Amino acid sequence: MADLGAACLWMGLALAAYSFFASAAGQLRGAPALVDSGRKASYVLVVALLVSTLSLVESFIARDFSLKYVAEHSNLAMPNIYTWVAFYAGNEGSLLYIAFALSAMSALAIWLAPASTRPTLAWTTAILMLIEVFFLAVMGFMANPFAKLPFPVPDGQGINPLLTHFGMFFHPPALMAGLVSISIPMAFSLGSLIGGKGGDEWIDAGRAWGVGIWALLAAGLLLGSWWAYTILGWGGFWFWDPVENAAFMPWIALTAFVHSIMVQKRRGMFRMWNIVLIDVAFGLALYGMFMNRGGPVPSVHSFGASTLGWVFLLFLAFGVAVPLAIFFWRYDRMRSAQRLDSMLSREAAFLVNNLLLLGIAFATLWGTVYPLLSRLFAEQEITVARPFYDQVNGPLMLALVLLMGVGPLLPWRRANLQSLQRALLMPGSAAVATMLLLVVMGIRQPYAVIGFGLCALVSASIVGEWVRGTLARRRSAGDSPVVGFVRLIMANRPRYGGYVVHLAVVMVALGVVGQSFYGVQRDVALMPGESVTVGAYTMEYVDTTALAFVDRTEFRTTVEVYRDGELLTVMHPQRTFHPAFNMASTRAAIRSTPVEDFYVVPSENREDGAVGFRILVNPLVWWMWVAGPVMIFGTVIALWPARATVRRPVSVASPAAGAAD
Amino acid sequence: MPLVLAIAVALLIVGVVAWPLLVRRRHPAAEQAAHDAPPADVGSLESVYEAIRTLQMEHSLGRISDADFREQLHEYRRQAAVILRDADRKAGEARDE
Repeated sequence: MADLGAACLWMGLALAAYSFFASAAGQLRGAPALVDSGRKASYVLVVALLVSTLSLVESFIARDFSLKYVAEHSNLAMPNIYTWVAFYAGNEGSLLYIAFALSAMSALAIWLAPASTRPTLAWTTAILMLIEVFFLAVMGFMANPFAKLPFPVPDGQGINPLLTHFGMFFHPPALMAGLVSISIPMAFSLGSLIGGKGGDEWIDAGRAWGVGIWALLAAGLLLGSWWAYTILGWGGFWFWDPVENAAFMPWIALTAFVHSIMVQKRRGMFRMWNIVLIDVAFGLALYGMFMNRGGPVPSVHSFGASTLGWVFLLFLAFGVAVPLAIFFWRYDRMRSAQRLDSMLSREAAFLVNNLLLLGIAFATLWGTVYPLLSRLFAEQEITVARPFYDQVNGPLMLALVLLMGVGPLLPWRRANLQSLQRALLMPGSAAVATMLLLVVMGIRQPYAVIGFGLCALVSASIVGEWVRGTLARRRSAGDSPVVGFVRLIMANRPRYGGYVVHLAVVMVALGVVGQSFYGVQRDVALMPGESVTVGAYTMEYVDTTALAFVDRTEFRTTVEVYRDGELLTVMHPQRTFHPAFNMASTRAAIRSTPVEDFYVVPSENREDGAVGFRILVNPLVWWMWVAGPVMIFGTVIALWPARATVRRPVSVASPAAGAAD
Repeated sequence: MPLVLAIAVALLIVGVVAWPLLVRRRHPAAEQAAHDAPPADVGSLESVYEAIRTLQMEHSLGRISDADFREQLHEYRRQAAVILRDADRKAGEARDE
């Protein structure tokens, strides 16, 4: 089956190249049949890459150790359930996954393209297929997952133990698919520009794909944080690791884009700005791929042995320079249809939101590249760690949360100051009351008090909007509260879906503020029968059982946790040694409640029978993980199609209408 | 078996990609008419309707003055009329062809 996969990989490369040339040439020469053929090639590319993907998966299931990639990332002891993870555990397989994901989403994007984009759809197809050509060519010539060993080995090296975690089934694929899919809104915008359309033709497609990809990346980032929290054994969920940052920055730029595109959709403004934003997001996504694949900074997330860094650096340069050149070429066609009427308006709030988000993205970028620059120019590496990000990004994020509370209360075009004051009265009171209550309860950290106060402001602002809107519907249409609320949401899904997403962001903020300012940590070594008190909890170490397996030794520990003298729970944290990798992995035991997490992880098993434990009490972290499904729910509401705009599949290309002049 | 499957995939690819080039050559007039037919801008119309709904909501909540409401409502209605007129014109042209 590996030969079939290899053959389909080469067919995929040929197809993507053909689709690129046919789409571009067909559009330039006004040949609809050629454009149609190029488009269909992009559809059938999915089939070729699906067969290739399934072939590699089948090779893993069959443990075909004649394949170098299978031998490097699996062994006979690996449970079959981790086949999917092993598939993208290395550079070659992850590139195949990326190419397949991009082909599938590109085909869907082209098939469902709104009518307004059809005159320039061939350019969009050509751009997407050019990106496909890059990934497939890298695989074909430099990192082929179907490359064979000179002779098969009896057993493989096995899967990286850190990847044998439930979160790994979704976190890497969501992030990889999300990052590469930023190409889609970028391709719609650039395709539109190349075709001579500098207006709003691409924004429905850009918005829908932008929001969907945003949610995918958000889910990927949250799952990654959860994975780090439960398996890395240090008790945190975000390390400001360079490769973490590389996934975070495009998401932040995309967050700016999905807000800003609403202004263009509603008012025909920010046309240039939106194209700049999506190009920035695309550039940052390419930077992330460069960092991940042979980039200059080692990370728990990167493919350490990769030598593809320079190829991805070249692609990054190309991916930044070409959109920039097209932007300047079509600069004169992107004038906004409207002007900003007032700084006290929804549009102005979106603009400030964008500036804050870009501030966070570029501060993070600076922190990520600074060690490299210092190594290059000062001949000593100066590391940038959490204090830098806390000091720079912390206030910017608080300002963003404040804007989330005020922005929804502002109308489009211009606000009436008195009505804004009236609208702010209830959320502002909720924020002040929350802060006072916290101070009375003994919480004195200024950032934490402000953070919780702003969370109250946003929540009250959103709930207030729902209540007022429902009451207004009741007055005007006589709807019952439930019917009125549902109709309110359905009448403006992007807006109210966005509010649900904002609530999810508040949940994340609660977890971040709670853990950052009020997390308690203790590192102790205990003999069986000994106990330690952390916060309101007393933990007693009971015993450890060592279980030997073919590829690992597991040390399963039992601890009892008491609160107020009563047994609360019995927990089983675990530490596993993997001789093949000469490394240990840990699995934290966590008792999670909406109030706080009790977290325990064994850090070492001593010969004298003592066990080193890291014990944490992390307030409000539970809310971060609940935020994920809420965020997805809000995104589904925001993207739910209106009856009048049900997409029709593309049936006919129309290159002449949009041919470049 | 892999060889047979590879040939099947290759045939599928060649067939799908070549089909538009072979079929369309036989019907150039139909193809031209089809690709010249401009699409109706349903998405833009829905956007305008949505903007009107939001405007009415913001007005009912007292967020904007009566004068601003009337001015913006007039502007959105004008935009909707332009889109509908444009769609009618395009539909008429498509029928004539």
